[in-house]
Amino acid sequence: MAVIRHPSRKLTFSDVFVIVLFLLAAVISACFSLFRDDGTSCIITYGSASETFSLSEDRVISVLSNGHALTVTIKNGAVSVTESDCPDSVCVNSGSVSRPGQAVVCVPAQVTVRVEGSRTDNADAIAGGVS
Amino acid sequence: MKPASDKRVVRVAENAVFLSVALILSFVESFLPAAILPLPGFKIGLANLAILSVYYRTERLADAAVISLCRCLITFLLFGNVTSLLFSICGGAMVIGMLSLAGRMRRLSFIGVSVLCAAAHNAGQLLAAVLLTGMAVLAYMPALFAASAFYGTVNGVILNLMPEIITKHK
Repeated sequence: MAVIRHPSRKLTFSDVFVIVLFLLAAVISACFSLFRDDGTSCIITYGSASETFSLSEDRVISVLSNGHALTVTIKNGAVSVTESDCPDSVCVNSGSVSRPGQAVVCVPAQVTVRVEGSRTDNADAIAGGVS
Repeated sequence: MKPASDKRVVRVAENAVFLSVALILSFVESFLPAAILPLPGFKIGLANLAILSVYYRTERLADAAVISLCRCLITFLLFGNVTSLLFSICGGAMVIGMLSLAGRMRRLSFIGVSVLCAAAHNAGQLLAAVLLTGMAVLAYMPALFAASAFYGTVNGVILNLMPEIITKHK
């Protein structure tokens, strides 16, 4: 049985360092999704299937997965989970997402709604596409 | 009974008390609104208080690991949610791993250890979520870091203030 050294009981410099480090990590990783162009489509994954929807037209989608029913709403270029019968309601409280890489997840229902694409990509595809 | 057995019995009894405390804390925590910080799905992790206390009190990682596992299993037996069980076990395993690395650092106070353990716990749960629902969940990473920093600090402050009788090795 090794004798371990106990932590101190007062706030130390290393503590503050750790806290600041994590807050920085939060900000930096948030930047990746906040400072990108709005996404153009979202992929809803339910169980092992997935479907893609465009974000440019408003619609309401019902998703049935793993014994739970969710309502996904696309409005004004953003997508959110508006209703869910899962026990957590984390997904409903996640708000709406609109940038590529952002996602709303419902773990009990095994549903993820992930935003993809960006406007510039689409422009290139349309301009350079050969039918 | 030989004296050595007495010590073991006392240790088991004390750990059992901490296990009960961990269970009560998880239960109470489920009633608190998640809206203190508007981060979806991250709880305060009060059970970590009990796990860390057990670790520092007995100075055995194995004890903390067993208490953590028992908490997950008993919570599952009481409330019957398999997904929760998976998440708890993953989170708990990461906490034990983190404790084996950072639990001995004298340069940290309970706040630092708590933040690191909270991060380990949340990272474990995020990993479980990725296993269940795919890579999209990684979008929650910034929330994970921020929540760990905040809730870990809250837990750590509580531990720092706890009377020595609880966390000091006898």
